[in-house]
Amino acid sequence: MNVRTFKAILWFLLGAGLTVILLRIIHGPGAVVALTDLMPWGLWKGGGVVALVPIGGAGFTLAAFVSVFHWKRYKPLYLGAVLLGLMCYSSVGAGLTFDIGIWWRIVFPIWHWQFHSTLFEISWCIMLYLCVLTVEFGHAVLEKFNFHRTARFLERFGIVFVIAGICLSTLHQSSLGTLFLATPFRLHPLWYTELLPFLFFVTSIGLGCLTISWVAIVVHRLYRAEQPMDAISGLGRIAAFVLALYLVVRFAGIIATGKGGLLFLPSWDTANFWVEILLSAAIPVALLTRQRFRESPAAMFWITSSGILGVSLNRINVAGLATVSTTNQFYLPAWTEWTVTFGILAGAALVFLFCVENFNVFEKIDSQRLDEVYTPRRVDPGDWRTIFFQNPRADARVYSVVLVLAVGLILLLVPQEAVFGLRPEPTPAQGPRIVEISNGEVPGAVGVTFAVPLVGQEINGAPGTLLALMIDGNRDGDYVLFDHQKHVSKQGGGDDSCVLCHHMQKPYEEVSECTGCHSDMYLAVDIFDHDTHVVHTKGNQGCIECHTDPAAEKVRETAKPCHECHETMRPEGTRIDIAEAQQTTMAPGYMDAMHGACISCHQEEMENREKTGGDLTTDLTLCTNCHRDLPRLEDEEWKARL
Amino acid sequence: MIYRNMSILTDVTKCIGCDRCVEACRETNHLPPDKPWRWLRNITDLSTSRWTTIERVKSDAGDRFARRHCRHCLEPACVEACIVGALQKTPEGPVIYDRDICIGCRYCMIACPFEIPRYSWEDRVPYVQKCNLCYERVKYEGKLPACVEACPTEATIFGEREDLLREARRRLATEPGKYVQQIWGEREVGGTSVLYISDVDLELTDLETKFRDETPVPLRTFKVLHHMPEVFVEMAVVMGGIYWVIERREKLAAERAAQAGEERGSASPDQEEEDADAADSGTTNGPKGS
Repeated sequence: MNVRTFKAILWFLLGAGLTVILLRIIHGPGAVVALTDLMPWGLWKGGGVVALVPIGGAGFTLAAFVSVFHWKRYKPLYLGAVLLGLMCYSSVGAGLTFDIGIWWRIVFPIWHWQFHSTLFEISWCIMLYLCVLTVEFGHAVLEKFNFHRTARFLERFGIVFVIAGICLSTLHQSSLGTLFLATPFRLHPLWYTELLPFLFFVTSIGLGCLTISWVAIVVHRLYRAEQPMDAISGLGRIAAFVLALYLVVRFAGIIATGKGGLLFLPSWDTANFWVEILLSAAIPVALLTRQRFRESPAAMFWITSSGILGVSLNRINVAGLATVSTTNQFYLPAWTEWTVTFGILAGAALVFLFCVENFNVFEKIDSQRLDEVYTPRRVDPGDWRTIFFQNPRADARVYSVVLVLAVGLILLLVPQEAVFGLRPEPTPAQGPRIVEISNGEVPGAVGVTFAVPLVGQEINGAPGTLLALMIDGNRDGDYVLFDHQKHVSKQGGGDDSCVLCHHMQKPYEEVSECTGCHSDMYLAVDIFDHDTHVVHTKGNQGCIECHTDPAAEKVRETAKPCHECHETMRPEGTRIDIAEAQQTTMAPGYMDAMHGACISCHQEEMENREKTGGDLTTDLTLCTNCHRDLPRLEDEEWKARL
Repeated sequence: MIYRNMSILTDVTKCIGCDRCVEACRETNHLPPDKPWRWLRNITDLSTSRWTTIERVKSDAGDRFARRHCRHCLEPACVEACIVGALQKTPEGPVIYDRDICIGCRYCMIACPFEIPRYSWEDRVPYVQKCNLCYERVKYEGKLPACVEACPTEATIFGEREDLLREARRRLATEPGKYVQQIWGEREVGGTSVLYISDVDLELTDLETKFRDETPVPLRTFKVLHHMPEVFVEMAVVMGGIYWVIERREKLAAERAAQAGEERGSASPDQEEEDADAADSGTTNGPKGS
């Protein structure tokens, strides 16, 4: 692919990621992630940290090979590996900053110490290792800007930094495994093993060899330079040894702990396990033993791709995917999460390419190569497209346009909650259904007992049965049987008894039903329709009709109370005083409304009975007076009955 | 009063599921009203607005109610996991949370064997939410935890852990036919301060860890973690040693080559050095060619 096109794509991804990060800063992580309380770590932790750290393992692996073991064959890839490590760890830092709930507290571990926490150890190792990588790569930068004396000074202590880097890497690469030793309850047994720290460390070495090879192949291809296949094939050989060791230890561990049976148990997790093993180690080890493959750039590209995918899958499995079946929590990263992960990686890739072009990271990619790749293109004065896209300064312009486009596109596409903040999910409340019940004495339950719930048209009015309302606002199968007739007769049975409970007569309605206003099960709903009122008060001239005080702010609270115009809306003699509610025009949730209406009246009735010596055998104030232990009806059953 | 190990014993046979503990908890801890957020399967799940909730335990003998909240483990996994020490095990027993230093990494939620900590995803600045056993209320105001105070049937009682264990054993002994002969929380993951006794099996409910093990979770990680300083030093010594040996061997080889060059007085020293390098990498470079 053309370098320019590739960079334009990276800029697009970067713009998209930055936009989502901005929204995440404004509205908190909940607005852009799909995580739940039982699956609190997702793509940003599993992919952006746990899987990315071993990819950055190239840095310490090559540092050990070249600086400590003096394997000069790998020298051409050394600086690239350090830069790759630097980019990976910077991405990890950036990703982690926005993954944690309170992003500006990312620095807290520096002075809030907790020595027993694995995460604390990892964070310190990563911070220190980032410093080491900066020093290691800083050498190249200093040379570039002719600070030779400082560069030589660093060089003298170079080995100290290299060894410190190796030690820090050993610690945090293995500690990422230790992290999940705390999750025996979540992690599937095929992955949970006390060997996790060792396995994580070993694979990070193998993966380090593979990732720097992959990056070298891709970058050299991008700049049309000859790939340093001697070093790459050597790394392939080492990776084969290391990954073979990993395979042996992993399977030995599984069999030694008696989990061998799980290996062939037909299940989603077993399939996942085998895919992971094949991609991460089996395929690379098998193919890397062939010298023919090791020396072919195309073959190495596919082999290293397989290894990187496989080991990343291993990390993602341990961090979350292999906990899906045990916790029974399915989580699919929201696309906004992918956008951030890819955005950060794209940013890192852009910095990487910048360094490759400026700091002579790879020998073969020199100024001559760059001149060839970035040849000025022909500008035809008669064609606006060539003037715009192909003039010598067009690149930066194209990248800017692409970046802005990405920002705009993401702002258009993100879900509403990412732009306006999170809202609770609405639960539409539905009115009661009419059912036929029998009124008989049943031991343990005084009063009404449940017989057969019948739907409207099936009611046959058999003796001993009567009609009741089955109140189940959210249709979850838990319901209250409400004997409407009995309540009507209790209130005197006259026409004026309705308004005792039905406290609202909306315009054009004789008696409004509960769900007319209390239309959400749990949330308060705004029942005031401003637009209709604007139309009916003749547009903009009509504001004064409700907002009577021109000096006051035009808000709900200062407007004229509704019932001053709608005189019949609040009927006389109702039990439920909604004077205040009517002013704010917010109707409480259905459940709150029902409880408010029933409980206060029931309490009043019991107090009356106590005073007048009425029937005290049934305690109307008990929850179980209405919420009886009736058979649950799932929605499917209802559909079947209908 | 000074407590050594503030604990709660819940007798599942006595709970009627009236939710008064939930409401008392909400009032005492100033929790918001329940709302149906996206991440809640059920509005009555443990959440930002419910640090305790009533779980319906299905069994052959009929449904039971059991109150679920933080178990205040004797060796809490969340405290061990917390990166900045925002979660602390107090000397009196409760595991409390300091929202001023929590960074929101949510490792406590991963590590908790009972899946207790919740996160206020709905907030712009979210915090971890869990029961604190009314630590300050009990310690400084001398009151009972709000939930215990509100319970109308004494299904949930408060006291020293040893006393409650004794009481639980007494109940199991006096009515052996009624209760399952087990005290949940006595030994799991090293023991918890919140204990349950029941007439139905609580295994395989959310109240029980899915992995029956008495090893405290902190041991699992610290067993490895406390070796880290040694690993660091050992790695440094090994790497430094290898570097020193190879460096020295190369130096000697270069000297020998220089001597040989002087003796022969022909081939340029630069050429010699490169040859020596190549030869050396051939010997130390285990895998080379095939």
